[in-house]
Amino acid sequence: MRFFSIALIVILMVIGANSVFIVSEGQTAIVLQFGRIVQTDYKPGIHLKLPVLQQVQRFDTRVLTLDSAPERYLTAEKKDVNIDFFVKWRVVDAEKYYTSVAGDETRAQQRIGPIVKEGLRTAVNTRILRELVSGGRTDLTEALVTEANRATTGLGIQVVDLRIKRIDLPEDGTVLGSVYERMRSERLKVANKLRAEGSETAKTIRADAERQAIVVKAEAYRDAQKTRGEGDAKASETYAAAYGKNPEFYAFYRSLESYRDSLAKPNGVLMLDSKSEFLHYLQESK
Amino acid sequence: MAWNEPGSGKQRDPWRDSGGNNRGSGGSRKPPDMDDLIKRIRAFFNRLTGGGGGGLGMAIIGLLIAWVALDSWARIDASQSGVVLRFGQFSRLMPPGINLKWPRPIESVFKVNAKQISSVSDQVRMLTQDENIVQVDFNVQYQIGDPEKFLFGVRGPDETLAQAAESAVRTVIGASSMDTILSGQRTELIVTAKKLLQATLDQYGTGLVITELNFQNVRPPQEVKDAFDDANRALQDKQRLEELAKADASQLVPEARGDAARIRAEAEGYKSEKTERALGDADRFNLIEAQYRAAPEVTRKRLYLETMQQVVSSMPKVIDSTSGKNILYVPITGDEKTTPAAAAAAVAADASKGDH
Repeated sequence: MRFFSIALIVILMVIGANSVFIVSEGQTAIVLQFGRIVQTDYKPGIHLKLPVLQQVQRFDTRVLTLDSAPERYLTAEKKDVNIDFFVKWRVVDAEKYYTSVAGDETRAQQRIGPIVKEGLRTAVNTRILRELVSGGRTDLTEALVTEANRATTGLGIQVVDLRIKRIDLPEDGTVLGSVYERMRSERLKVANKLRAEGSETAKTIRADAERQAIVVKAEAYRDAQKTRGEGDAKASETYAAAYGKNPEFYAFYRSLESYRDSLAKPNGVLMLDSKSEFLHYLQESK
Repeated sequence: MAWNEPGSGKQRDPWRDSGGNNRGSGGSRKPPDMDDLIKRIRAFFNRLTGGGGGGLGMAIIGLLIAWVALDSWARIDASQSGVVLRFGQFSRLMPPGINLKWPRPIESVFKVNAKQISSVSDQVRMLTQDENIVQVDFNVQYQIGDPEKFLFGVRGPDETLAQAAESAVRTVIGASSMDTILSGQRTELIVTAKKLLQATLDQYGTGLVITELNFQNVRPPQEVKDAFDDANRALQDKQRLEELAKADASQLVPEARGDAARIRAEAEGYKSEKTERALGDADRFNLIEAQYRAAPEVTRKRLYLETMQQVVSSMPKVIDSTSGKNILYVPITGDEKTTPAAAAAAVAADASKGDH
């Protein structure tokens, strides 16, 4: 009796445990009965099912990542580029997801990958590198996301986003070398320009300074000449006023002064007539 | 039938509305009344096992009590936040401290380091808009803004962040020219990249919040470093040349001003000299003239003789005596150019010529 009751409890517990199931946040579930889908789209929470007869299949509804390996593409101007992208996707329809890829992520990604890559290849082929690198990343990927979503509708998944992680020039290609070469020559151009500009500015500054110096000096000369002239004029006026009073005596006085200044020097020989006025008394006492 | 119908908007809580199914009414947040619970469970088992109260029943009850005691609370660290799921469904967030909960499998707690700031750094080589290549070291600091989303929004939120960050940085670098990137206008790029990254993370529902994004180092690749260094040197050369010229200029102009001042001062000096001398000369003349006027003859004679004395006394002299008495005065001086002897000889020769 006691054994039976314990066995009954255990059996009831097993059946009880098997008739409820928990779907966690970030999951969805479908219930299968002999491999046939009975109910889908379970939200997080506790749910009932028939014990033993029905099985639960849970799927991750979080956003998942498909991270591609870098691949080589050819741009419109026939340049090789390595493009590395990732795709974000999630399960939105568990029933379709289960029936199309048996709920297998790897299989789902194997379906998404080629679709995206093909779309990307076409997109890259019709664009030049410059477009790809600059504005191209977002508008290009938006179109690819739409395209991928259209192609994967049957899979019960949604492609959330596609991002290009890197667009690089391959290390073994010739393009990279020519890019470096161009960068170098551009820098050289910049360097030359800078040096020439420096020289130009320096010359301008010097020339301006020299001009200023010349102007300053010329102005000073102008003022100086005027000042000298004033001095001369003043002196002339003074002399005229003084000497004008007695021109005859001035002539005599000034001549004597000149003789003194010009003749009273020990170079030269002075020849004197013995009959000159100066020597008058040397000859005659009267 | 599920407790919570899929798709039914309103959430029904079996444990809150049950009205004394397993315990008395009251807030579900309070711990279950243990004694009451144990009594009820024991009575239940007693009924099942025929009132024997056997060892197995007691063991099961003991295990249950231990389980409830151990699993009906959770400790959340100060830097953490706890996400509580009730039967897999999000129920509430637990603040730091000791928090009560229903034991598993009813409620389970996931702890996330919500306040901890994490960091991702990467060094990548990228193409710029003008098809140049730059090397960018960037660093992203982030924390969990929404623990629920962090746990259930994206699988691998941290890897997602690293991927999205690289993509965002590449997008802004790819949309800018190299000169913009290498010059000081990086702040704008950083702000754009940060916005872009945050928008991406929100789109994916990662629950992550970017606190900071930095370009720690942006430089041209090693292969062309020498050319860039030379361009930088050229910039310095330019500045140096300009500074030198400015230094020269700042010397030249003041010097010229100094010269100008000297020229002016000299002229002023000249003016004063001329004027004053003229005044002096005039005064002297006036004074002498006054005396002359008083005694013209004597003064005139005296002035003449004084001048003659000065002139004659300072020079070698030859006196022509052809018309009078023979007087020759030859002073002895050291002047070689015009020795008095030579002069005398010349005079004598001249005199003898004159005789013929």
